[in-house]
Amino acid sequence: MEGKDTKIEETLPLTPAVLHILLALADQERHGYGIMQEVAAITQGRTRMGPGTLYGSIKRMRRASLIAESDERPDSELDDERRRYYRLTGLGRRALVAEARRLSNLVSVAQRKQLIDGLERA
Amino acid sequence: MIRTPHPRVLSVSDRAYRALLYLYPTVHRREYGPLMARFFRDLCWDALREGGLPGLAGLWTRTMIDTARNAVVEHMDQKGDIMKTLRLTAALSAIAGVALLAANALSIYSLLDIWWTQPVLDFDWTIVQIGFLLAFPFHLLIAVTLYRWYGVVRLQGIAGVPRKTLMISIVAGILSALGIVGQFASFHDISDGQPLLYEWVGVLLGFALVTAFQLSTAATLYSLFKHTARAGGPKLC
Repeated sequence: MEGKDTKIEETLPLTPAVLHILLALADQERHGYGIMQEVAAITQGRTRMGPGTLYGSIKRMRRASLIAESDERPDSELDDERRRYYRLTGLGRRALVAEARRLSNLVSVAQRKQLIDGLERA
Repeated sequence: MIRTPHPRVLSVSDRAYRALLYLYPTVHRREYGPLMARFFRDLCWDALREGGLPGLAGLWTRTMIDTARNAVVEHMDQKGDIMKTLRLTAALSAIAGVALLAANALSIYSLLDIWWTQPVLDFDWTIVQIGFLLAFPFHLLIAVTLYRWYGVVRLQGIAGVPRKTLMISIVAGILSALGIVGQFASFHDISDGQPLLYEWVGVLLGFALVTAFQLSTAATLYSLFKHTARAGGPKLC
């Protein structure tokens, strides 16, 4: 278990692109365009990933075993077979949780130092 | 049915982006090129639908910046992968080469010792069998080295590998399979004790195959070592 934690620690802090992709995949499997749409929704359109950034990040995240290509496909009538779907791995989910905790701690510190308040967070 | 906005513009944009993909390393382009092109087409469709031609112009500006930045990142990433594989392959080639040299020296010494100092039918078969068993780990090491070499070829693309080295590797691969079969045949034939005449044929055939395998492997290892240890590494695309 310690080895696994060390591996997660090595991935932190996550880059914004990696964090956004992991967040987009947290609730369901998505293809590249679906990930981009979800990231745009999460960030209220402030983050727009280009094809180079998205697929470069996906490549490195697959290599680091944070995400994997999904074997299951949705209804073929509703979707293009050429699309590839991605899902979070166990390691990816743990890394995302660890990063969320790290960011949450930072927010708590910022609150204690009265840099932000509850209203601004909301 | 949703009508495609500006189909001609969409088509030109798609072709232009596919051309732009050639800025990426070959391996990355092969793996992700079609997905990136498809993704970009979806972005174009959205941009045209929501913002018309000015929207598409904005997308292209962002995409040029994205491509310029990420093509460089991918080339650097690729170079790191190749150099790591090359270093490992060179190290394995060197170790396998030394192991092969030691095994061959031992074999030659054993044969000379057997043929010149003892009667032909009075072999110490145990020693020969131990020799065969020792040879298997060497072959395994060589197989691993050849597998790493396959990794180098895959990373570099076939065009980055000298044709002579590639041909020698292919021949070594074929002979490797035959050599292992020969070695098993020899081992089986001599394991029962004093061999009969037809068993001698099997043993000699096995030796011939193993020797051919070892010679070709030595040539491959030398070629690999020369290629992979070269300063500066291979060309990337």
